[in-house]
Amino acid sequence: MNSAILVAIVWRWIFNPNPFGLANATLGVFGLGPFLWIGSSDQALLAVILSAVLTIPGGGVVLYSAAMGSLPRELYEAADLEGAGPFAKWRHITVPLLRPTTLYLVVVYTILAFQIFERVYIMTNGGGPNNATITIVQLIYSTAFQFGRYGLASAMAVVLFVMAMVVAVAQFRSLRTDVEY
Amino acid sequence: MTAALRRHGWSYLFVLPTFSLFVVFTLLPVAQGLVLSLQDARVTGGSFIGLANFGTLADDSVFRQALGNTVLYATVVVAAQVTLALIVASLIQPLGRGAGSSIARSSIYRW
Repeated sequence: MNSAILVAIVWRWIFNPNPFGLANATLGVFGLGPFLWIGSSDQALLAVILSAVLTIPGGGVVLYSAAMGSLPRELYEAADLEGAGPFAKWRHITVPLLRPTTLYLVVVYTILAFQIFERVYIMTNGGGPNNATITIVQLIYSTAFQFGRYGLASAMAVVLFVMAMVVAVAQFRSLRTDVEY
Repeated sequence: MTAALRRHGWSYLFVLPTFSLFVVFTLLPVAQGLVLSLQDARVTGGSFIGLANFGTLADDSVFRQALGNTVLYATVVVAAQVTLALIVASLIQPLGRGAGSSIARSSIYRW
């Protein structure tokens, strides 16, 4: 929910290559590191991925919470009568019934992830050492607005669009649900 | 003109401002992007070169690197975020509707 630029600036500070960066200082307590993170071509992409993975997806939590509130009680009562434990109920009732929400989140998050730009642009100065963290939108930006090759950049955008569409269709096919409640 | 259109047609007037902004700033740029991708366009304009841009991209090692990075990032991050969202939502669900639940929900939504 916070400005993506501010978040990226904080992550750049966390994954600072010097030993006093927050990630290195924390891992140093356990005797690990220091790692180069965004300063090395091997670890830069890992740092960018970690920065996204370590963020709790607030929107997804809200959607899942809302969907959980509207699940039918009868199924849980039936499961109670059968003697199902909390994990069995979660695994066999909650998760399958949340499938439409899962489909929505997977499709939306995939499309958003394909468009990753500001994290890379801020954390690794637009590509990182040896282009280690370059992404399609980052490359579109530099091709169009730094090198002025608008045609080539547009072709990249078309490739990205086709890619996102194919993946979304595949996800709809594989996560489609036949169960209505 | 059918009766329904004559009766409710004027309501399209209220959609018109948003719709025209959508056409001018979203739909037309998408179409222009498709046209540009078939040209060797620079700042000064360009001429039609067919699918040559896509051939250039196929041979471009930096573009392949970008494609691979984007797919890797999307795969890992989407799997992790959807799983994390499901786990966190499942953990705060039993809190019910009390003050603890409100604090947990609003502090998570901030992120």
